[in-house]
Order: sequence, then C-alpha cells, then structure tokens
Amino acid sequence: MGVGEDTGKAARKPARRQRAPRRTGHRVQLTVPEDMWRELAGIARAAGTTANDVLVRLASERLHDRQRAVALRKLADERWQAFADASSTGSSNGAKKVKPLTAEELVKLSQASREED
Amino acid sequence: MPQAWDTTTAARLRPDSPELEYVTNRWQLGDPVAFTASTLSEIFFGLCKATLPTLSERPNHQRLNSSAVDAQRGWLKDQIAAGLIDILPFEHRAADIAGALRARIPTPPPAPKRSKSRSKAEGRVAWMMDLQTSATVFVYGYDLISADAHHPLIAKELSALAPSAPPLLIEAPPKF
Repeated sequence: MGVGEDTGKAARKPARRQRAPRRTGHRVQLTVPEDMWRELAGIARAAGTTANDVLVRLASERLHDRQRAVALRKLADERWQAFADASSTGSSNGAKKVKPLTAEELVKLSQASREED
Repeated sequence: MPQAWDTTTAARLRPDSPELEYVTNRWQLGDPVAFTASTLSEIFFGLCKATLPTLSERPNHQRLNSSAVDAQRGWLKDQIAAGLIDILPFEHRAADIAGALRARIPTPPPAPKRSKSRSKAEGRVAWMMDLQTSATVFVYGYDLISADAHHPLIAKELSALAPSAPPLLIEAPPKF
C-alpha cells in the first residue's frame, strides 16, 4: 500500500495521544530500565495518563516521604541527644573509675516498684 | 507536624467514623497518623477485657457483645496491616526515657474524681502506659494528640529531663 492511498481510515481522526500535564521545570533526558518503564506504562494506562507523568508523580511522593522521614529523624535525634546529654545514661566515660554496683544491688533497684506498694 | 494519637482519640477510630475520614486524608497526603505500641496495647486491653465473663461479674463492668468487639479488633488490625496507621514501637530509647520519667513521677497525680470502672491498680498501670506513650512519641519526633490531662504534666517533666530538647507538644484532638 503506497503512501497517500485511501485506506478508508484517512477521514478518521487519529487517536489522541495521552499527554502529561504541562509542568515547568528542568527538562531532562534519562534512561529508564525496561522493566521499570513497562510497569510505569501499565500504571499510566490504568490512570489515563503518560508514563512520564507517573514517573514524576512517584518521584514526588517518594521525595515527600523522604523529607518527612528526614525531618522526623532530625527532631527525634535532637530530643534523644538532649536527654542523653542531660542524664548519665548518655555516656559510660569514667565508668571504670567508680566501684560498680553489685548484682544484688542491681536486682534490688530493678524491683523497686514492687517495694513501693 | 506528624501526629501520634493517644488512647483518648485513637480508641474512637472505627468504620464510618469522622476519625477514619481524617486518618485516611492524612494518609493520602503522605502524613499518616501514628499510635504508639503502648496506646495500641491499651485499646486491645480494653476490647479484650470487655468480653471476659469473669470480669463482667464486677460492678460497673460493661460487658459488650463479643462479636462486635472481635470485629472492631479485626478491623483495627487490618487498618494497621494496610499501613493506614503507623505504629511506633516502645524501644530502648523510649524505655530509657520512660524509666527516668517514672522515677520522677512514679504515680499519677491525684484525680479529683476517680473513674468507677478503673481500680487503683489499673490506674497505676494506665499511668505507666501514659509514660511509655509520651516517651515514645517524644523520641520519635512526633507531637501528641491527647485529651488526657496527664500528658501536659508528663511533657513538662520531659522538658525538665531534657531541657535543650525541642519540647513534646500536646495538642487537643481535632474537632469532628
């Protein structure tokens, strides 16, 4: 069949290609592993969008999760460090210089709550 | 700010509740609500206790339909397994802090009126759970959502134990 021959389909509009939402930002060309691309394309078909769009959305979600985890970790570490700094539990320096507690003393201390009542 | 719910709020989570809608919205926004393992233990304790026939003999003990209780337990476990709620474990740092808190405030402050459904011994255990919950939330970097009057007191003690730490913020539960 030659170019320009009437196949009866010419009058039909070609299926509109899915387009990702227009975004502003840094344009990049990247190589996506085949298996990952197949998965992205599958999600895109189900969601009625493009694989590029799915890729950006997944990256965005992951970045948000990461930012949240980093912020939580930072606050958690600050709180823990402040507690450790303010209490003797934060350091074992100098432990050799003092006479250690006996096993009996330690057991008695750990059972303190049973003696209060 | 990431939120951890204590028992006063967490126990209200059930199917078709505004609490569920709120928790789901936060999960969709990538900021899931958390419970501490101690809070979860309190919830399961309450549910299990409600169906025990031996305890139901006690005055003021409200025995509930065991099928409804089992359904709620199962539903809650499903939500956790699905990742709707994060569970914060009671681990070594939280244990360290909870022990220090307990040494400073071994018993709960006297309440103006003690709950009739809770014995003094149970009140003491609940106090330990409150200490564990505050310590866990503190060391995981969360804020605590609580309607319990004890938690602001515990937060104050935490600030005394770790004066340079970003404080544990106690917020009132959202209005549903």
